[in-house]
Amino acid sequence: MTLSLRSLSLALGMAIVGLLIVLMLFGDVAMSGDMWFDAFFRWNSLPAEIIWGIRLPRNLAGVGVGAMLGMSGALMQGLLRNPLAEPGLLGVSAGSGLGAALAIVFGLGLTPFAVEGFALAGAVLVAVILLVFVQRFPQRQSLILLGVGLSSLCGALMALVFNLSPSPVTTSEMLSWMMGSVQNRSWYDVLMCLIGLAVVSGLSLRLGKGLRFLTLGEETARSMGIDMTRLTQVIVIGSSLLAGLSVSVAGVIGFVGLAAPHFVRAFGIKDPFTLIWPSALTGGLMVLVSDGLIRLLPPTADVHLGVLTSLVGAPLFAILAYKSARSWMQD
Amino acid sequence: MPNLRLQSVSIKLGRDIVVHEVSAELAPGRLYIMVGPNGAGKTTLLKAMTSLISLQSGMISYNGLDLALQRPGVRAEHIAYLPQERSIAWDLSCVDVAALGAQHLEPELARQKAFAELQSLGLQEVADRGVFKLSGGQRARVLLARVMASPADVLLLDEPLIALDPAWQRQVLIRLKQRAEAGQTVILSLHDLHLAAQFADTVLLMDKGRLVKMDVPEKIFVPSLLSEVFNLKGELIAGEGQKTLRLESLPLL
Repeated sequence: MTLSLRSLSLALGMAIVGLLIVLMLFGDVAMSGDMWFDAFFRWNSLPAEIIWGIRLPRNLAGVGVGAMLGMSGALMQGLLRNPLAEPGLLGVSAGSGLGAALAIVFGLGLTPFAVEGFALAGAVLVAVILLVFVQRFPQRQSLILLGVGLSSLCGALMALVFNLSPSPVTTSEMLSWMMGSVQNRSWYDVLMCLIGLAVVSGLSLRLGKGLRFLTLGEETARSMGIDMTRLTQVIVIGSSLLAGLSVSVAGVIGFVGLAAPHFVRAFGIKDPFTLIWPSALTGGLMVLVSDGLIRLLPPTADVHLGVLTSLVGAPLFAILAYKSARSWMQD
Repeated sequence: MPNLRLQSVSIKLGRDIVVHEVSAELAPGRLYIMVGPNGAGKTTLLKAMTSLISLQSGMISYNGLDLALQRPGVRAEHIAYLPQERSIAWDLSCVDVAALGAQHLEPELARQKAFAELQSLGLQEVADRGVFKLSGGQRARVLLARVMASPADVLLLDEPLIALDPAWQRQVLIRLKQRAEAGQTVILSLHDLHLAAQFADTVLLMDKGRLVKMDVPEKIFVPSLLSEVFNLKGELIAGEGQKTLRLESLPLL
């Protein structure tokens, strides 16, 4: 099916708003008519806290995290000209996860903003290494190799942290973080997502020519006046910021960054610049749907968001891949 | 008046000097075809003329200004380049790919310009089709249309006839010759010596990184040079507006 950018964005936006409203209506606490009245007109009441302090920030954080992952994935795929690229490819997510694991193992799990801060610091450290490297070797193959190396290193260090973890409680806490969640997220987390999305949207506005020319290869892009080092740096900064913030807000959520741009392409939007924003909307919707499904499950099930995004997304992605493969066979 | 001037250009890739002291003056209105065996330095020299490769020594200037000192965006307005790499990462429509060459125009005008170039290369019926659904030859013509849609007055094309059938090879050379006659400087590399002999205004004969000779085809495709550079026996026969190159293999050295 082919949709224009406007129609697709509108449809995704409406789906997100509709789902946000539905998810506001339902939750662990059944809301009576009086409680809804209190929620809207008595700001210090418990119902108001449930709606505006718990449900809305959780849902918005889910949309924000998904949007950051979707946008980051679109940027990475555009830069690396590779449909398999995703935010985790360059090691930023792994660096961020390592930061969070260290904060937990140092006993800072309950300290406000400590895990988030450490997660962000891990992402920043990996991003700085990437940027220093890009300055000298801007070719995408070199970048992918370094990213895979950094990702493996951070993964190994994380395994070491697990290995040396002082108690099963700490290990369980780290595992829980690794599997991602937007439960009990606050307006602070929503603000983090908004800042990340606004900053990277601003950075991305000037990437149109670069990403489009890059469709024809690095040599062509350079011959058409694109400064590849600068383009790579801007995208590495933007993508790392988004991936780092998403891990710091919700832990590790896989698959969204990889799949969101593919879903947008399935609707006929192939331009690597144009699909940045619909990919963000798609990512937001994917996480919101997954989180909504988690809330349908009994609380004892304790299924994590990162697990469900992959469980829901992977079969859909497989269908998409099958359709693409079939259309290529027919050519 | 030449608009592209190469002065004692030498280029080093890794430890090897792959282009030695090449000097040439390339003027608008002519179709230049660069020929030479594999590894002669044709692609390297074309890349240097686009500033994709830095020079070891010497200078390449465009309208008297050192290319290396020009901002990439400004240089790209004057020099368009078709590399040998023909990959297209995303399944954009043909017209969208060709329109990438006309980014100096408003989007709608760029699409019109792109469509006109696709039409001139026989692709009007597939203009809205995704490039992944095209044959190799059609895709090569789409990429050529991107270069043709550019406002540049110097066109550099590295093996533009790869994947094209014999009819389209000739058609493309006719289009490029028309561009040259209209005032652009067109420089391309080619392996087909027959086509080079028929279409070139000037041939640049490269061998082992050196510009052996730059002259009209009649003075390039002579037995001594064909034997020395290509290890071929042959000669160019001209008559009644036709040029025919007769070639025979010599025993391998």
